[in-house]
Amino acid sequence: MSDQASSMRHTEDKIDSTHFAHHIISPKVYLTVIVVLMVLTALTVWVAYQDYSHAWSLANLAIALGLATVKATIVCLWFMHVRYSGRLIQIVIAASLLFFMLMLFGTLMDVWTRHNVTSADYGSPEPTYEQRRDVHLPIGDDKHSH
Amino acid sequence: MSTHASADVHHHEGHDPYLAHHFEDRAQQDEAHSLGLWVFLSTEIMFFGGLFLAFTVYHVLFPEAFGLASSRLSVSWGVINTIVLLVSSFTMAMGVHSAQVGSRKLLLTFLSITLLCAGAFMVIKGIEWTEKYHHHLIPGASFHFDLNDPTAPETQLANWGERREAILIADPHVERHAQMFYVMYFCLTGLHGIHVLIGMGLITWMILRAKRNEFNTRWNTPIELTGLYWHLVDVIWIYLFPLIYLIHRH
Amino acid sequence: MSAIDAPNPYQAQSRSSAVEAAATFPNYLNATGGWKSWLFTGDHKRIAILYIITTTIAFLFGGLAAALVRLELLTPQGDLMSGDGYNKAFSAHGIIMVFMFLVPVVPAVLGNFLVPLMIGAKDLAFPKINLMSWYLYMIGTFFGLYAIIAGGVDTGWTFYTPFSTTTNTNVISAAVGVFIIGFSSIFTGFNFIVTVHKMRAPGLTWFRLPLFIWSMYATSLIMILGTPVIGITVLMVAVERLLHLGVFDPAFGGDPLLFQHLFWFYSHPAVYIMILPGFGIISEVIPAFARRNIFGYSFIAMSSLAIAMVGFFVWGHHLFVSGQSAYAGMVFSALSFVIGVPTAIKVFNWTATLYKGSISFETPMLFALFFIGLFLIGGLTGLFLAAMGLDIHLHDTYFVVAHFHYVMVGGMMLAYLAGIHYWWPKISGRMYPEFLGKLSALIVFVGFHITFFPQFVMGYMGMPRQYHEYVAEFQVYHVLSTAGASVLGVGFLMPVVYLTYSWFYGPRVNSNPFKATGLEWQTSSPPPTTNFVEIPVVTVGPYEYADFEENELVHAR
Repeated sequence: MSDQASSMRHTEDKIDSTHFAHHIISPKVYLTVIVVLMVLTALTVWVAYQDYSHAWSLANLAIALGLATVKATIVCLWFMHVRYSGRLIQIVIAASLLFFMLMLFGTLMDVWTRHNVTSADYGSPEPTYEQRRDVHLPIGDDKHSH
Repeated sequence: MSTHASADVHHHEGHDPYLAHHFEDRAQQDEAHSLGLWVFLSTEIMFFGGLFLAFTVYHVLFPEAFGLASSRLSVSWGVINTIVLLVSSFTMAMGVHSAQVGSRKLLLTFLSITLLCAGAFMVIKGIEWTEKYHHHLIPGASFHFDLNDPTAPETQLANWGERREAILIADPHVERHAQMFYVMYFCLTGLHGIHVLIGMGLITWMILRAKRNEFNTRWNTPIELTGLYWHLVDVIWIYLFPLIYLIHRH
Repeated sequence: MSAIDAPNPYQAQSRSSAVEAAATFPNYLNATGGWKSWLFTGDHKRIAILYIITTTIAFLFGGLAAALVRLELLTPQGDLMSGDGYNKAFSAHGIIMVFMFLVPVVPAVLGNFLVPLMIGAKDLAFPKINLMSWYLYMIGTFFGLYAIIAGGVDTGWTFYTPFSTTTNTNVISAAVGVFIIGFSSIFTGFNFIVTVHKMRAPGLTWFRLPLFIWSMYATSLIMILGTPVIGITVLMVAVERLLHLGVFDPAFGGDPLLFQHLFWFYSHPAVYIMILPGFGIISEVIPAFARRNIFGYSFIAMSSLAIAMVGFFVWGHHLFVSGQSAYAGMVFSALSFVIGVPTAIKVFNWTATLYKGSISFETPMLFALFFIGLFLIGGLTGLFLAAMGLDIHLHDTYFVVAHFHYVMVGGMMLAYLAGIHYWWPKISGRMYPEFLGKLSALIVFVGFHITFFPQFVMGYMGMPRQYHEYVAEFQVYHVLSTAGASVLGVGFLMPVVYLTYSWFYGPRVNSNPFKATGLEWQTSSPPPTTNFVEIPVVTVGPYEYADFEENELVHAR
């Protein structure tokens, strides 16, 4: 392959360049990152014991997940070198998160609007474990008896 | 010409010994390996995603049961494990750095610390699972979750009688639904644990290869890829920790 | 190295000299010998051959199960099989055909063979992982077939809970099989994505890629994003069965609908894993035999990505009558109509490509044209089923069975046959028998309609699926259907026989017997192990048939 052809491969679209193996991050940066992660972990635990549910019932969960996302992003950006990677790898990560969210909220769209799931709404309780066992409904041992 | 990929990988006369035959140059090979690993990690996200979805759906359906069941886990073990795993992630990153600057001794040191941390993590998980066994919290026929258990943390609360009534009105089957939390707990931590074990295997393999002096400043891709995998295991735990241990602590 | 690899792709070759050279030229088939050179190969082309053999065997097994089902349905009484036996027969048919044939077949056979050739690479990015994916396929297939032969599975291919966690058939080994085959599919997809991104020949920009590559890329996206979800889902079913935990069991507060959400989040996009590669094949075959540049290249390319993307938005239409909330059903119904748009774009563009083309009806073209007709019917009846109100009437009837067979068999199988005939000279270095090829295309087309069109009618009239007995009024349709299935069976067996014959005794061909454009036709037939003697440099788009014809004329003078 000619030199010209070789350079074509690497310049034709910027989106494909990853610059993966070429960036060396200083240990000082790693040290800073781990300290920040520890602080954030402490913060996560502390926040979990505070009660914000008077403002919004999901506040504690949202804060916990928000902090986890900050921590995960820090790990990705520095430990996993995403900050120095090309756009392609960032797109790969974004795509997998997007499709996970799609699966999550597509299903929750059903769960949140489905009102007849818990037996409490029907007034008729589900059979207890003992009841199922007594009438030999399949709960376990009789499953593989063929 | 051999069709054995293994035979082709390293022995081309006059070529870069680290360049496989089907790549044009090292840049292309490195980029392919890095992209490949990231694509693999995205499948891992979807793989865990299915379990996270199940956890979320049951959390939405049985919030009271999940809150009660979660508060019987030990936050201190959870915090310790989080710290252990974060430290292992740090030492892994330092290991990759050592490989990049060509220090074999530091690479071996950092990889060994990472392996130790991973082992510690699994030991602590084992302790936690054993505790669950002693408290009859393993899902199945022996599962027993009692709202009146005097040793349970929630029954120590001052207004417990009042809260108990409120919980039973919201979810009369809370004791049975608590089992679902433990099913999800064991599935999630079990799958994560399997990934930790795989990671330990990979790190051990890297240590052996480093001892054979296989890596240098020009060739350290396997270390980098192992590092990426290990950080993903850490990232998943970063989400698992608050979801499992910290919901409804307030 | 040889006259075969002419540097100018459009230079006409003298047939006789090319054929002589082909007989002696070292290629991927004669490069090394012995069974080890096949079972431990890293060559994507040899792995494709391994896949051809194994998927064909799987297809024959699945076809056998289908034959049993159709025979049983010949009469209204259950005289050939019991209800249980029938459940196991149609489950075997579904599990084998979906997981062991339709999902892997085109990516693993034609994709494996063609992706590196079409983008001017020496191999896929990860040859060892490619070989591993074949072994995973074999192990998974072994588990699946073991489950079916040793007592059978009666859940259908969908493994719905709570039935699948309480029935006493071999669900676990079938689930393990699906799990392992899933990883085979993930590895194939991940290999393709990296290869397309990183291994393209110089000058081969994204919008010079053949449309087959675009569709394989879109397929791979679904494979890597969807398949892990089915993996974890069947794993949860296996855990529930083995350890008796109530993951999806309502008795423990478990939600069977959650299983259906997880299952269809993969399995709906999976039907696009099955059909998108077919779209890619048709987009190659139509321009080659109409001698025209494809109409609306970028629309076809982008519609592949759009289908991969939107395909993930619509899974809820499988849950319309399962107890999903009406609100979610409405949203999923509306989104399901949206996916008709990119699909229609493709059909319009193929049709527009034919307009004013110099069409010749070789076997691949016949299969491709039949594909368009059958797929059109399959796709449009899908819109009936996407309408939530109409689906209340049509769900779980033979209307649904006919719909997805029109897409999967009429669409996917015909596209696969079009592709396997079109690239057969490249794969084997030999020509298939043209007359027999055309005959089998015609037999498949006729047999297919006789088999499945009556099913639309009886389904609309209320014949439910998955029953081994039925009321006598439906018998005439079932008899038609079974008769058609025998014709169809002959049509599918013919290529198996004459292609096997052609593999050993067919006449040798030159590097480009169909005078098609595309990098895969620029190397010899069969190609050398490293595909190209010199990595090609690409300067034009993939379907420049106008230039090609002009060049031919110049040489003729």
